[in-house]
Amino acid sequence: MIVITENIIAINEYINESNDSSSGSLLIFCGTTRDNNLGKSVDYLEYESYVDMAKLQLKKIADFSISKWGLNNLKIIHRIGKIKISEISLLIIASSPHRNESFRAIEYIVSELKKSVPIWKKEYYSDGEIWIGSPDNPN
Amino acid sequence: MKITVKLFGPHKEKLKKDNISLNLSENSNISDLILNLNQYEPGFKENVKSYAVAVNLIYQDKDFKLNNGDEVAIIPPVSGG
Repeated sequence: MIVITENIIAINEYINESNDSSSGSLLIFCGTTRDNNLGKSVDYLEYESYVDMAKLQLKKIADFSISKWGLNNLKIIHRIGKIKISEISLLIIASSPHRNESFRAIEYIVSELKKSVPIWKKEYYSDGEIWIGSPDNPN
Repeated sequence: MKITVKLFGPHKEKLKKDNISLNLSENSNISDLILNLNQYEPGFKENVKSYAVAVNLIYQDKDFKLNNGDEVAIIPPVSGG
């Protein structure tokens, strides 16, 4: 399941949907919005996406992960729009017969997402704002 | 041929628009499109070196040939997660 949404991510609902009797591991990764970066205090963040392409890229990453690590269930949910500090921007839930497969899959998925999925993050500070990863600010 | 160019993130903000319609000659490729976009943003062809380009939702190289009606997205460095 791939979801890109402007709504708050209802983590418990997604966890309940992910339970399956053939898995011995249900691994959950949450990316949350941090209140500081580059030595500055962050007020809030905003994510923008090329949604159709982002879903396509995420599906490619998900299909590869399910096939390579034999996952029984995989959900990737990314939030966009304005996000307050400490809220969940990214939720990944992977279930597999044993834990190693879901650990490896999630590490791979997060890493690939940060390389190729067209989603952009902007941080807002009390004295300005910065697009993270842009040529003007490669950090 | 008519091409729609979609802009995102810092690039969209800089140009104050989220898409541009271009008329390109037949057999144009992505490099030709980038040269054309330079009129909207002087220095774009230099900035774009760190950008990726997608045609109809798929990443493509700069020598990829375009077709009438293609949707081309200029993808600044991504930062999801």
